Amino acid sequence: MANAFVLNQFPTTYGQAMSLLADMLVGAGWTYKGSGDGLAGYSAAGNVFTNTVSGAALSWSNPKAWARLQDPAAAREFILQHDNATNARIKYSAASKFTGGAPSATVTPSAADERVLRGGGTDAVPTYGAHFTTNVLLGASIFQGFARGSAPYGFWFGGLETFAGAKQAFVMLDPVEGAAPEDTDPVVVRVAHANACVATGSDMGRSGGNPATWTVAPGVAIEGSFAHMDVARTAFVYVQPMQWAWALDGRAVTGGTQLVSVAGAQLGFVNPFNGKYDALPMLYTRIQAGATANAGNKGWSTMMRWTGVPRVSFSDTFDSRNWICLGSVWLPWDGTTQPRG
Amino acid sequence: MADGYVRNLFPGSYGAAMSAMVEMLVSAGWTYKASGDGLSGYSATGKIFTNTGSGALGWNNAKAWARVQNPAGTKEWLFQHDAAASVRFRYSPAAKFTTGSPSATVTPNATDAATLRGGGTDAAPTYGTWFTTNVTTAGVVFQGLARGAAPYGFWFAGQVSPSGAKQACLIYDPVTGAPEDPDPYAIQCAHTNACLYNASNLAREMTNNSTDPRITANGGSAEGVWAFMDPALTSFVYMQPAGWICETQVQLGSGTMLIVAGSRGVVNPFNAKHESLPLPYLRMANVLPVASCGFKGWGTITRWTTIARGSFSDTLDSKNWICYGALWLAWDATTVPTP
Repeated sequence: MANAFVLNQFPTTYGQAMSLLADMLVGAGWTYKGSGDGLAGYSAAGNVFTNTVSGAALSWSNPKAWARLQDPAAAREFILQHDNATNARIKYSAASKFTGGAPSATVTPSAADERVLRGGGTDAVPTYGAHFTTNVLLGASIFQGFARGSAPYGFWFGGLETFAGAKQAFVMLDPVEGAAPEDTDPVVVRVAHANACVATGSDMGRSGGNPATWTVAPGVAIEGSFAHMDVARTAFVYVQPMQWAWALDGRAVTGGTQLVSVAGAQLGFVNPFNGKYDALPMLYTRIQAGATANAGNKGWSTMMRWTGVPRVSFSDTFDSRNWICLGSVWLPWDGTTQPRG
Repeated sequence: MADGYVRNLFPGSYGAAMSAMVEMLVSAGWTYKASGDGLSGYSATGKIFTNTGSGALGWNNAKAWARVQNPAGTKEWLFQHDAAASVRFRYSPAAKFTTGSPSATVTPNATDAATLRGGGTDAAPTYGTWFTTNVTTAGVVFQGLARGAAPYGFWFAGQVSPSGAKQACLIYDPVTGAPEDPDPYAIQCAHTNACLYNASNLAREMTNNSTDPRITANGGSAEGVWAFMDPALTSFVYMQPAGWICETQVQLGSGTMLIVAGSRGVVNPFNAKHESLPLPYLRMANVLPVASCGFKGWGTITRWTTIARGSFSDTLDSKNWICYGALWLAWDATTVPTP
């Protein structure tokens, strides 16, 4: 199936924005396997939505509106839900699928292996994590996205307040290359908000020398990348794309703060032979900081490359518009469209 | 042409070790373009040596040298030693060693020559330590590989057997990088810190060392990696294969630990095997005004082991790689290395 995109979209409701993500996935071959409009409309098998008008029946723009989406291989599933007030609840199932629970117009189904990426609570009484900014209601946040129409069906979706404002609503399923053959779920899932695609201590730049940052759990309003890091898929843990550095390994700092030059997200440089910025591949790892469990490498990202120098908007592209910038990463793009925002 | 190798070799003299390296290159298609035996034997066009001992036409004389050209006829090396554990190496990326007044004791010159070991002049060379005296008691095992196909990368290295002092490491690593790079090679020349991730070779630090590592000069007895970093081939500068790290950008807080994968990895969580990671050669940029920073390319005959080894004894991927310090080096897929 062809790739699908969200191209330069300015939704005016949170439901519209959620719908953009869901419909992009559908455009790449994903299917609705259930949905509820947050009021009384419910489908146990498909798409109940007919509109995105706030407060309307069968609309995406109601609190608790939700969708169950399954990938074209009928393998992985997501639950997308929001509260129509800037917040979202997002769940992921690597294999079991969301066939449990007692779903209804306001209640999401459950999966035996589900992982909550955003929000929390229960299916009947969900809680949410911040996902949008109120600028969405002004039509002042631009959204872009990409869903690959061929296996393994990676996708990304994200928003940004125009112009070069707050990042928001970033969701990504990143299939990895170079994963161990024994890896039963070779993908990394990332949900982020204001720190989307920026290497900060809140998202992709957590310190390898701080064990506490590696025990962060997914869900609520946590930003970051998570992946199954064991064959049985019992350990869904924080992982991070590494950057490059020159430093002795395992050096303890006994006093003061040391500056270590780290390339990847920032401190990049133009190539000395052609004057162009390099786009460098990203290797997900879980650092063995102290007694961190399930440490090791996950694999190489197929949806991102380091920009070397972060951008503040979507406006830059790379490789004949096959990549679009967001923060410190390049993300796959359509090869045609000039991004706005 | 087939690849050339040095496998589990214990030479008994410095000249025999030098000869082993050069003959490895020759077996992969390189050619002697001139040589001198350090006494009175000299060839302006080829190989003068008939033996690896001391005396006439032997490799084991002070100032014995060879000019060797790659199979494409594009790049050349000049190898010389002092028959006392030290060597002088020079590299020409394009101009070739066709000038000067070469003789049995004097090496030729090239207009673009970069010195990797030793110094001085062609007539009065100085040398940098490269072997240990264990060579003379046949106590050092040497291994090496020279690719018989373009771009003709090679490596050669020794270690006191078993698992003793490293020495005599020269890695000519073709890199995949910018297409505009006229000399896509990174060269490691090292002695006791060969392929080790420490402050004397592959892990010099930008802020912790006494000086900016990027000004580490090639030649003498300096250990490290150098490469041309400009299209005009005028900037032959120090670089380093970067390790991987998780940090915000530049800050390492007091009392914490910096963990750099590459030489300090962990086993893969899915199969409990150690990773073999690609090697990105970089000349790190920073606030310091040092020129020619940036990305050189990915090593093609080297990979990080993620856990350094103490000897040659470990192999990877059906013996296609052999360990040496913190690196995997391309190997012959057959031979069990002697540690």
